[in-house]
Amino acid sequence: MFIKKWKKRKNGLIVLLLLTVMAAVMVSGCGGVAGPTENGVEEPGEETAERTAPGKPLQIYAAYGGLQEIMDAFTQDTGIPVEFISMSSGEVLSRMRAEKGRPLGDVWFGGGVDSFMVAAEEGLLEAYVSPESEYIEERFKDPDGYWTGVSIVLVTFVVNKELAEERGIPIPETWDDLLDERLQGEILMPNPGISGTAFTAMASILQRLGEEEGWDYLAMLDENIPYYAERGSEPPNKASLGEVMIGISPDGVNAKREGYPVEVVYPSDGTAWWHSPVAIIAGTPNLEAAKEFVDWTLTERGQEILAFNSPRPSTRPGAPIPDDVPSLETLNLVDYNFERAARERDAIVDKWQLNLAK
Amino acid sequence: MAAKLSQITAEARDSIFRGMGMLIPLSLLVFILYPFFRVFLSSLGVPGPFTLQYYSQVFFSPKVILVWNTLLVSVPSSLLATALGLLLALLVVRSGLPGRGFFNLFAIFNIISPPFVSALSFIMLFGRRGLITRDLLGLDVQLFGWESIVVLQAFGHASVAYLVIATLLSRMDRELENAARDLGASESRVFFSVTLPLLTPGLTAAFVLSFTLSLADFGTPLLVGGGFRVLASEAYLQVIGQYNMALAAALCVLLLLPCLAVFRLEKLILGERSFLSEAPVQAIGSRKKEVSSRGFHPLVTALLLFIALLFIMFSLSIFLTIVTGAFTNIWGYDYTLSLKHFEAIWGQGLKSVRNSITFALWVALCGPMVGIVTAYYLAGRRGSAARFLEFTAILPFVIPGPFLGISYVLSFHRPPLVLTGTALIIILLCIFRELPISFKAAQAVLRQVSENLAMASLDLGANHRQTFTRIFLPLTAPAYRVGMIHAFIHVMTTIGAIIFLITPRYKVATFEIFDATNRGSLGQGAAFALLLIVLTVAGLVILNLAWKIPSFRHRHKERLQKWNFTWKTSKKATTAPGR
Repeated sequence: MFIKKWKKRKNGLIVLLLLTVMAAVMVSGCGGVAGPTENGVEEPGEETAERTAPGKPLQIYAAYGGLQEIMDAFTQDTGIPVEFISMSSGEVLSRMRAEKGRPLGDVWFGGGVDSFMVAAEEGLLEAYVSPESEYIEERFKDPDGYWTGVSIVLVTFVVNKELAEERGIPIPETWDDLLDERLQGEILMPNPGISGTAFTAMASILQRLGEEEGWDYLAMLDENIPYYAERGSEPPNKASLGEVMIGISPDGVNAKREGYPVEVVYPSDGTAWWHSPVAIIAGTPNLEAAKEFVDWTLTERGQEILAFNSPRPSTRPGAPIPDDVPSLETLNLVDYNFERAARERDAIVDKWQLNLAK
Repeated sequence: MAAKLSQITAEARDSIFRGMGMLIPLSLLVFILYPFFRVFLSSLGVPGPFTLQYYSQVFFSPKVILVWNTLLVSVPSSLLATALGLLLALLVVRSGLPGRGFFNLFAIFNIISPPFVSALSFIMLFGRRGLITRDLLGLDVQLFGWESIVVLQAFGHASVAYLVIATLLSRMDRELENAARDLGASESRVFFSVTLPLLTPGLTAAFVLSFTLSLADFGTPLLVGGGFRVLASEAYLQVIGQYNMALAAALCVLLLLPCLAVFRLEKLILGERSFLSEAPVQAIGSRKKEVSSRGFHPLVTALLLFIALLFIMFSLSIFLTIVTGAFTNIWGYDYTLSLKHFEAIWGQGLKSVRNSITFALWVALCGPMVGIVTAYYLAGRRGSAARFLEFTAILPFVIPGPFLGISYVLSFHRPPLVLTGTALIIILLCIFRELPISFKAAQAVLRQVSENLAMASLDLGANHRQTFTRIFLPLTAPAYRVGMIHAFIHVMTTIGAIIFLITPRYKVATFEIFDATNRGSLGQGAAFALLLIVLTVAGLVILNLAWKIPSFRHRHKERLQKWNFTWKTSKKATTAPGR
């Protein structure tokens, strides 16, 4: 805005400035993607706030794999343009809280079901029962319609085969196998205070074995864990690269698809799991498009796209799944009580922090 | 009639000019001080009842170790970075060896290297299956812990330290050293009792810089720390993992304390002593008959050379690892050549890259103006209000990135000023974050030349606006350039400050790197990083072209010569304190 005032001065510096600013405008303007970037950058000083409105691309907060492919397919099927950003469940929740009353996102796609439960309780979600949700198993959806599960996340062991061979250690099949003392320093698991994966795994063990035995097991497992990772992505990454032998993570199939020499193990003495839901953010100005997105993710076609681009079992029985994803019947899923886990969350994390955190 | 009209427009222009003068203090208050107080309030539980629980949660729990951890990493890493920077600067500036330009380019290059990927490259090279540690040296090491953080940060920030110290060293008046030699002091005595004390401002500036950079760095501890937590990473995790904004705010306030402390320390060390504020003008004469350096003892030169070589090799290997990762099939595992990572990022990814460039250009072009105008506004103003505004203007220099980001979210989501979700808030944040550089640079010009000139101009009948546009602006062109270059590099490579502000529409390339490494698509992360490096270099070249336009340069030169200043003087005088 200062610049305009000086335009009349035939000063070399200012002419130059103007030219460069214009170049900047052109760079931002001739972006190629129609619409969003056109008015993407306002003149500083022109203090307007822009919001998503009907007709503008759907804004999606996502914690999901293969997003680009999934969103492309959705746009292709429905004609609704989409913009998305990946974030962890915690970050989405933080943002929704900060943005309450003036949400910047329309849809929350994927993440830990516990965060969705918290969000629903706090009035951050819009209830919507999709016509497609009747095909989804009861245990995978919210009775009040605040969220609907789209896929099942499984906590697995991501085992580096080459390293296992080098060490002559058989690939572990059960949680008990992880207590092998040859695995000392070889197992990486995230911090349960940060990672939903780690928390669900621990709470599952406690529910499966009971309080006392469960904590004993966790203490023994702790002997083999060099440290608790701060990000959920670290265990599978390090296992893929051979920095450790085993990473506890739901993302093993992705590492395998990348081409790393890893084996994905679904522990046969109890695989921890949760459903990854989709929900509409309360107060969205883009409600109709948001509903269409929820519907689409639950259709047979949507479920197929999801399963193939983010390798996880579907919540809709009969939807096609790729070969590297197990069907739910073949797994020994933990009989997990989500409400109990949510209730005990703080106590579990505190106790872990006190006794086992390094 | 016509004359009257033109008089009216001239008056209107003047009042607009005066109005802009009002805007400066206002914007400093709104975009620096207000967010700052919001974080502070939020850490005290506002909105809601006043509480100190978030601080007691840090101090009276196992979390207190975070404070020590942070210092344990930041103090050695910034000391090392400063020492390394000093050695490199001595070698390049003083040893008389050729290749200084090359080395400068290299140091800048090292600064451009985007976050996260360097840490991943580090693991690929020096990790348990690292190309160097295992395949070359046959070691089996586990690379977790604070030592790795210190090493990575020290090497990363050494470039910054080097640039600051080298600038000072090359501008230093060598008369004093020569005098000491003439009086019979040995080379080492000259170095320790003349050169080093003269370098104090550079050393402290370099230390403060790398210290704040290290405090604000949450990526490196997360990636190579192996569970080792520091305040910055904890603040980040509190927001993303536990949705605890208030505790994150408290951690940020704690993070700010050491920053302010070293900042204060720098002032104390430097005191009111003047090291070179007047030197450039006076030293022109002596500089010309500069005595050729006698150079160092061959052993010292060899040692310096060895360290420099180590530095170059380290940084180069990190860069080559990024290139390798970007163009091969599977990061760290399958080295078959492949373009698949670039194909994968071609769609949505390019949009993020374009956003990065757009933001960087806006900030690079508009940002320095704010700094220059601020310097002009504060010039000649005395009193506590002006001193306070000046402090506010350089405050962003020591505010860690995540702190700034969180403060903007807290401040600008609700009325009166609703900005979240726009590109504007990201641009504004970056402009004010980069403000201290162009502000300081412009201030340096002002101190040396402009007071007399402004006086003369006013005496001759020009008003303030004319003085500003005709005298001050052309003189501060070099300050503009410095601010522009720094701003461009920083906006292209920053993540900590803006990660809390980006929306699906305004994703940036650094975020994509972060996201790709999170997903385990390390090759894509490397591809993004490489793209970012190339574009940053290209952007810098293009932005610098403006200063190469002959007619502009010529006219500018003439104007300066009219006032008996050489182009060199003003340019040297304004080389920024760097950041």
